[in-house]
Amino acid sequence: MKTTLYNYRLQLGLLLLLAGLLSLFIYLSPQTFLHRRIYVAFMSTIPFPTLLALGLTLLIVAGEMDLSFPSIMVISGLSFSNVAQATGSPLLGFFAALATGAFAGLCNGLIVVWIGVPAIIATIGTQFFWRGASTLLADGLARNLTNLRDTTFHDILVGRLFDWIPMQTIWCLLVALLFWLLLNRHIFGDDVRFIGDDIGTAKMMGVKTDTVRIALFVIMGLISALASVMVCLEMANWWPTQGEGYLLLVFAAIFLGGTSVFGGQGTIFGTVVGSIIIGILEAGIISAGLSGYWTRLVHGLVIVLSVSLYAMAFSTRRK
Amino acid sequence: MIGKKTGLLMALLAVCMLSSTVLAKDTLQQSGKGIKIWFDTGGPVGETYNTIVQHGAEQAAADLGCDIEFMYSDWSPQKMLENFQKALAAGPDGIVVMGHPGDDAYAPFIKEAVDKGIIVSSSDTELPNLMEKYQASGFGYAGVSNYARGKALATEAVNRFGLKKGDRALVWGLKSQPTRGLSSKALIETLENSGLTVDYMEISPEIDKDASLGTPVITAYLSSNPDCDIVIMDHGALTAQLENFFRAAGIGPDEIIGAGFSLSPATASAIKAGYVDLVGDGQPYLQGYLPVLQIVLTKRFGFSGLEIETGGGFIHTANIDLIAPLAEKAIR
Amino acid sequence: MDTILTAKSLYKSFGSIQALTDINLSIPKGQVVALIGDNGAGKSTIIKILSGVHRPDSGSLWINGNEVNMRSYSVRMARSLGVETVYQERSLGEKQPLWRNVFVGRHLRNALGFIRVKEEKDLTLAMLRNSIGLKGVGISADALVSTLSGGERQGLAISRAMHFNSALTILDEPTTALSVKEVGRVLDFIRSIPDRGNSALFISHNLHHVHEVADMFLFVARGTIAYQCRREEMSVAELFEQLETLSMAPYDHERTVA
Repeated sequence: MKTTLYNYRLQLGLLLLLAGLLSLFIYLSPQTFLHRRIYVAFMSTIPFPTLLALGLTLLIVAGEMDLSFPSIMVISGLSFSNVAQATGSPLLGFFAALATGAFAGLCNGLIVVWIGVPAIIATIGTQFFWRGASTLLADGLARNLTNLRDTTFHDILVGRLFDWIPMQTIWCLLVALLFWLLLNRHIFGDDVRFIGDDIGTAKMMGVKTDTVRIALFVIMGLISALASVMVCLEMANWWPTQGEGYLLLVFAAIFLGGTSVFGGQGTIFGTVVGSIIIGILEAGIISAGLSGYWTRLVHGLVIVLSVSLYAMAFSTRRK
Repeated sequence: MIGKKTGLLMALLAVCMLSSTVLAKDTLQQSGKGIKIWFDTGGPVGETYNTIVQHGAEQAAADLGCDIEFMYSDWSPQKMLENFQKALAAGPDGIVVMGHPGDDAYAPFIKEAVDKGIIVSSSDTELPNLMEKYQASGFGYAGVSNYARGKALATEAVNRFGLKKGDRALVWGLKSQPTRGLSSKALIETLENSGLTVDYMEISPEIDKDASLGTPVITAYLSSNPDCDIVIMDHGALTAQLENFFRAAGIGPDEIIGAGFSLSPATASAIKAGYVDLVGDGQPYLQGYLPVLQIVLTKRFGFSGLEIETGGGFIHTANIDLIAPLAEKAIR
Repeated sequence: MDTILTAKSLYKSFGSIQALTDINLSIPKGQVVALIGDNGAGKSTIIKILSGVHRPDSGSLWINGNEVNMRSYSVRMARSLGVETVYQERSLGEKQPLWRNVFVGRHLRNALGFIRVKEEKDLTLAMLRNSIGLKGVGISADALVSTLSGGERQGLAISRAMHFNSALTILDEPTTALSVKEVGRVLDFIRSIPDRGNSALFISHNLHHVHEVADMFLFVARGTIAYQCRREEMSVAELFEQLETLSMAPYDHERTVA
């Protein structure tokens, strides 16, 4: 029992942090945090960065990196809105977005794995490329998608279950479950872990490292496309800077969640809880009556403190 | 002997040449022919707002027949200064700047440009000192000063909706930014002078880029302050998301007054749906068109710089049907 | 005599360096063969080719009497043909639990590729109890490799090879970094391999260890097999002498002859 608790100390710590923050917010502004409305708002926005963080967690466990996902979002979202508007079928638009996302991810994968450019450099490049391509193709104009609000596809992806639970939360949880199974219970996840741990070892142990790494970038592309379509539908709008605001939040959520920046280790549960913590902070600060200027400070404080705690916890153990 | 056909052809040619010279004498030339202008649109490539400015400038260049080169500064004052130096090096006839870096930062560069005989004019943000100094050499301004647009929107809102002492307003803006923040400051001051209680929130850099992230924040605010009567977004993209924000916070159309700036397609449909009630329009198209026109006029005829206030436009349920189609094309 | 593995005229170069020249060797079933040679003689390259990590420039490989298609030969394929390698280093994922390390690359899985975790952990536990050098870990299949000592790691890698009961186990310096007692157990294990009808290819600097367990010695010098003999033909002292002679020999055979 004791060892089980010890093994899950990271997860428990995170849950405690989340519970502590929520209690603090409830204490400071009960009129906000004792009502369903704020949680519905959380459930309608937090799933987007969470989805991205889930995809990126797998990449980081494999020792890779992707800075281009905000731009993959914007180009996939553009495919979605163009095809959906042209054919009148958001479903076709969705497939177009997935194809675009997968293609962009494949490009990243090939540049990193075949050509051998380090992922962080390659994806800085592709990030500029796709952002530029989409503004160019859209002539810099936002796309109004209000007419998709009444479609079944909208209701399936971002509708409100029982008239209050945002569907994106359900999808996000399903993806989280799938990724948890992949990382912890599937041979794919096992390959990912060994690649991140030491790619030489993985090769010697017969892991098809190239295939797995390329697949990871493609998965990240698909996830970005999914997130983008959901954001487009939720906001009934596509705009050329879509996704840019997610970059830091997503990284903050992953590392707050306890995934190692060195690869080889990562936690899906941690990423989900990390995303929730990052996602609720600003609302809590605002409703407590503090000005928005506090948000960054608190973000920074929470991240630095928790990451330092991890470092301490792990170094004591490795000794 | 010259063949009959050839003779006819030569005759025709002669008539053509003659008539074209005669016609040219009667027609005025395009005033901007041969004039080269560099234009800093201020924002990033493709942002809604500066695309409208760019469209205005492009139209002016097409109307006047001058050459135009666009620069993009991602709304960064530093980059605007760099772009100015780049333009200076190219030695065009005129340069249009967005005034964000301010008088002092621009002063040495604009002096250099004027000394070289380059006409500089400003758009969007005022540069009062430089204006005073160089107006005679063609330094002009077309735009809405930030303070003026904030004041105008707040005044219009108070009058139009009969806001009174004790009513509560939320202003969500970028007060911490130099110059740009004056708009939020004016909104707050004007509303407070009318006796309203004003809450101010600063837009985080993330929400600045991805308005969707603002949903929990505004929901939290509205839950904590259920007595709020009017929400003013001092930000174009957030204005466009007001409908989504209200929906998420469980607030129906016309329950709370929504106001903001710049008319995007999403804002237009939110006005029709009743979630947004008043939008201040700085008419950015004119801020692109007029500086180009003015530089051409100064270059050709030596006119002094013009100071033009492009603001004062408001969009609401009554006039949205006229303006919405133009917004789709990034003209309004 | 039945052979488990035969290599015929393998050549391998890295850039301008000719690492292996005309390597011919065969490993009989039920025997332990030792590969002996100085540092840089080419021993590691030979085993990397045999185990599917490197591809030779030319030459052929026969496993169990069948020729292997060198173009598709990989670690995965080698293992499926019963050739298992225990490397000196880099054979374990540091941050991974023991059970993942035991089964990496060949997990027990269902049709969808999901790992049968419970079963693997149980097998790992059983393995830990019965094997060499792992007493210090406590008994947890979830312990991370980074918590193991050098000897314990070697033990785990060897246990893994034992578990999969390969037809040919290749051991690259398995006795380095081990305590005296652990060395004894490793040698016992190698000696026990032929009992089950399997073979081993054993690489070591320590000629005492080699002489204790090997049935046959292959001397590698300058990228080729320079000499080979059976155990009965040589004492430990002669092994030393032979190795020294080969190491001192002039670099280019043919040129000196000419």
